Amino acid sequence: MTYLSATERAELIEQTFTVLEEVGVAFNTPEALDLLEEAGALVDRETMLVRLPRGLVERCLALAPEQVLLAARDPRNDVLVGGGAPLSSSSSGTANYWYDDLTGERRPGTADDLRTIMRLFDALPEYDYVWPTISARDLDPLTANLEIEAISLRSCAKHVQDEVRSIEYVEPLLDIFEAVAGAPMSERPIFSNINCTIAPLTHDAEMTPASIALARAGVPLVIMPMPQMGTTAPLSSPALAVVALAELASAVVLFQLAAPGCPLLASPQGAMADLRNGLYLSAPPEVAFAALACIDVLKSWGLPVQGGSFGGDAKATDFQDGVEGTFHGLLDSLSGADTLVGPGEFDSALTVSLGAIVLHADATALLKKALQDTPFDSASMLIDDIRAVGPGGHFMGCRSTRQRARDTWQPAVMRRGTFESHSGSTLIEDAVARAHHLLATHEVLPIADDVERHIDSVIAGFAAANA
Amino acid sequence: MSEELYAQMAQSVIDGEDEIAAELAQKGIDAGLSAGDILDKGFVKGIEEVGDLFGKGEFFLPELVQGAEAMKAAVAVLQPGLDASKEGRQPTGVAVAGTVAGDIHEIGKTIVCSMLSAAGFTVTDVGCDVPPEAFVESVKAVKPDILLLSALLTTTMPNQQKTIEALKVAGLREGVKVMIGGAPTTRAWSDEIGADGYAEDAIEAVAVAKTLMGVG
Repeated sequence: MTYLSATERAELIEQTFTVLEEVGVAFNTPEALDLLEEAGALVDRETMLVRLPRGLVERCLALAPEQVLLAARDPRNDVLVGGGAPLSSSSSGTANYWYDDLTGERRPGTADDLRTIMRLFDALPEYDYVWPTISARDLDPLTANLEIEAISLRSCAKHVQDEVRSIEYVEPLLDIFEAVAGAPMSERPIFSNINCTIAPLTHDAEMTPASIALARAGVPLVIMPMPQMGTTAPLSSPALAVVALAELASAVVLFQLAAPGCPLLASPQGAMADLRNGLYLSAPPEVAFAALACIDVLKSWGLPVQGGSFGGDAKATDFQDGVEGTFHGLLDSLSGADTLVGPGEFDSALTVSLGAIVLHADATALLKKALQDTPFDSASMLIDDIRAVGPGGHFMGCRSTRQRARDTWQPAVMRRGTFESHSGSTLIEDAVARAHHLLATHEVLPIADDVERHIDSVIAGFAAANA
Repeated sequence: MSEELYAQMAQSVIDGEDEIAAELAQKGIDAGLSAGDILDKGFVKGIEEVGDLFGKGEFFLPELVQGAEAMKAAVAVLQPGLDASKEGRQPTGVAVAGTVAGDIHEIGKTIVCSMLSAAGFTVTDVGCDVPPEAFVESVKAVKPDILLLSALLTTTMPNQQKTIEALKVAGLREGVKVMIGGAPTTRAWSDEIGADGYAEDAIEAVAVAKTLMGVG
């Protein structure tokens, strides 16, 4: 689906380059300034503001690969993103609260919650990789960044994506990842690093050096601008797209200069301020249209794109949640997103629940099915069967019906069958029951004992060295 | 003539025109009107109308924030006259606000500061990424009634608690009310760390601040 006309796309790109050339971006890191200045950017060392010539931006955009490998510690879970690979999906990340779908209780997340959630994502084939979906408030802040990744790796054999907030965590995390992968990240990147720019037009002083180091080590980066219409971006979908694209392109420039050819995903995740109270809204249609425009441009730049689904503003896994998640997921997918992030959360991505994880899995499978590359040709149109059955017949006896039955979307929880067959339980109760069943029966691929001990020693060593 | 000028002053706040508000404030002073009358009969009428329209759902947050900025611009012009007046006008309260260490998000805090100013508070915004020691120094220097701590990340929320602890160590805790806010924070977190107040958004922040000052 092409959302922008060629003229609109050209105008959006032109204005994005204009912002980069004339307004500039604050990089806030001396290392970044050195790289950019050497490459021909106009650098103001006092304000750390950098103006990027469009030629430099275009050169760096061209360096980024079109397809990225997100490896997993179980290679059967390896995922390719972009370059024509099928649509994939991640969980969302860093929610603050655990929500009990049945009682309505909401409380801060814990390490045990994270283990449970990651095991559930491991059990659900609809999800291809994970972002630690809940922040664990009971972990020591000093080692939390390490422990969260360790919990995620132990509880889930899929690729893990997360934020590394500052440089001191890079070495111990690389040590852990490469021990688990049994190979350098440049060969088996079982972790990808989310780099969030700060809107408008600013890079995080602590996160940037960490991301540079990780890119140089072969870790794929996920560039995630999050401007908010009305506060950190102007109140228009096209303007939100400009700010997001400018931040994203500026990050691509920096990281391609630091590590030419480094794999990265472009993940524009804009939002809007609630104009009644200033609070964060992730799911308004205005945000969706900005995302469409961003994805359109990013694909024209040849970048693999992570779009969004779910993580909307509903306060429970309900009708609003379903509408918001599927609306965004479908629009982003149809406009060319290669992978989606967002499932598992609601409440503007602040809250996670077992019911949400399970129901979003059904919806994710629906989206993947809808985006499946179904050829419209003589073979798929089954003309021979239509001829054979003819007027008034039926197709249930056709071999094609038998062969294709298993390829149709079969929801695990969403309702089909008779009304009576579902009386006595609600959809959310069924979803929670499925979650508990999976958690009781699913076995996560274990990590070798010596690697387990190594992970523990790395974390203990870091704690001791930084106490 | 003065009635017409007062109406224009109110309208400048309703329209969120800070430069016009400042010009009208000066015009009123030049015309011999008292700073107190200019404020009460002109600009305060405007901010009251803004609040009224917001409450009815006809105005949104941008109108509230811009009205507050216009009010602030007018008050800046009127302040010398207000200070010198025999009425002895006092601010609603004195506040210091900042985003805690490790956190450079400040849009929410900036909006809160704007709205507190419009509500009559004298506000010192100490910026973002402020370590506990710096908050302590600000409290010593400014002697605020209220200290507002903002955090937008779960990883920086603990610095709200550390700042409160730092105030205790410095012997300043009893002399200042502490409010917290920011997307990941909750009332329960506020209670847990011993803050005096919590607000979900900027509008509630003003109401809570006024309550803490006993003028709610």
